[in-house]
Amino acid sequence: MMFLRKRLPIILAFITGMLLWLQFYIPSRMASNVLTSFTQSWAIILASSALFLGILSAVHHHWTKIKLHKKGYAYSYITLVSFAITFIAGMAWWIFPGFIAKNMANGSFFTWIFDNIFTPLAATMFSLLAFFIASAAFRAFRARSFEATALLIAGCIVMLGRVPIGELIPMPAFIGDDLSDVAGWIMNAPNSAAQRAIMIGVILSQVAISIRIIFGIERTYMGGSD
Amino acid sequence: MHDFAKIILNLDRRIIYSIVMLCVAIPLIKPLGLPFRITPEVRDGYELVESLKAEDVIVISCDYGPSAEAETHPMFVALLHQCFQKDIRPVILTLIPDGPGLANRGLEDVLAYVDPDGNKPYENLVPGDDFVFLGFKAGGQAVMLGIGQGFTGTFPTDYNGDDTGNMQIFKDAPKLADTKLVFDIASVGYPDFWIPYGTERAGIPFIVSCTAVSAPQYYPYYTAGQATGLIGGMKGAAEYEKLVDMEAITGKDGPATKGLDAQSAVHVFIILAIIIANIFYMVDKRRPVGGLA
Repeated sequence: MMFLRKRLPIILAFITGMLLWLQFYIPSRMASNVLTSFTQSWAIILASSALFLGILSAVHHHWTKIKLHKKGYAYSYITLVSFAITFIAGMAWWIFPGFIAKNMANGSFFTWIFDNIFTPLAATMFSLLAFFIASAAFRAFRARSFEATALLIAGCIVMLGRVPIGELIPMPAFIGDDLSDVAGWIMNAPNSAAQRAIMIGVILSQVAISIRIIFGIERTYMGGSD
Repeated sequence: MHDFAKIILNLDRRIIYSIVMLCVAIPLIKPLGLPFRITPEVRDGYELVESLKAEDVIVISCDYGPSAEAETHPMFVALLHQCFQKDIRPVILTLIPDGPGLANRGLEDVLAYVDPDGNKPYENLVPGDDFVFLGFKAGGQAVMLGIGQGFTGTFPTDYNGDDTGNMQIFKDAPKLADTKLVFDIASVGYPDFWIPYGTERAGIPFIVSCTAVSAPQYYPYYTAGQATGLIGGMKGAAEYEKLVDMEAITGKDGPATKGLDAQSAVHVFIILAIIIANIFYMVDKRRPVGGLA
């Protein structure tokens, strides 16, 4: 049992990690391609399995919530019923009454759900952000310190410069034609530099974590803290 | 004055919401038609697509869902028009589960499009020869590596269940390196992966179109030349529509161009709100209390 729970994952992580790492340094293109083909098919299978596990986990979570009558369990009913209807609509081999196609084809019940329920709901949720951001900016965006003031000014320039109205705000000739030029410079120069620094830092951390996982030093991905 | 500052700083959020609603609704009902320029990031992407020859194959990765439809979907529609007008053949795929619905709808809408003269210019396009929609495949980076080896191995069938092995488009461009570019329209972080796992390995150019909020993180790729074009948010999509000349193609402005006035109005309001709040904050010299975001 200990072998399956502890040692096997470490062995698998070591072999997979080393193979995927080494294939970048194999001078033969063919050898690299064979290895990549093998690992990529496994990766796609694993990703699909992860989706299936995700579904099982979500159903289990909501089913437990309903069974124990936890707070807000009524919403779990809605989730499970919606899931079941959408699942059946996508998998059904028959055509639902009132529709012209089956499964996920155009004109099917599934497409109708996507176009008329999922799309408006998702778009509405995202659109609400504009209202919250406006209110939050009014209440919280304060020039309390030098850093906050710099952020505030840069934010305002980019917000105005990235919409047409920014092109109607003229700037002195040595800076640019209008505010959108200043916004473009902020995005291309300071923003790019900062993003690149963050990116390099993140990637170096990923390399360090990968080495720790490959050599079995980092084991938290197996659960537990050691 | 201090009392007035307190009232302003604790303004009911419903008043702010109402003003935002008006800022969105009025320009949509009565457009202002504010002019805008084309930024170099967008022009570079457009010109790369324009430089392609007829029959060239490109990959369009539609990695966006309905939540980002307003910013990203107009870009997809404009790009499809550009491709079909120039006889460029797109291989369309998506790496997110909620992507196929919008990608399929966009493709169907463009294929069924009727020009101002009442003609259907794309009705003779043949799936599998002139374009293909592969649908969704789980795996992200693995899919990118997979199509680097071959499209048909990773996608044995297209979105409609047709065998990709018999398709002419994949006989002409069997793997990613045989295509001319990857155009990722994304509301998620896949552009970060397309470059190392897809385009850099295949040695082909990459163009990214994304939501405005995620555009800053892709500027390093653009300034380094790893992304030839960067189309950020609704403004970027509107610029692309202008370059493609959607008004001439469809007889009206594209959806991104229509939405820009509303976006301008909301941005101006938010900035005014920030300035007013800061002025009264200075007057009041205290942190605001009460009210919810």
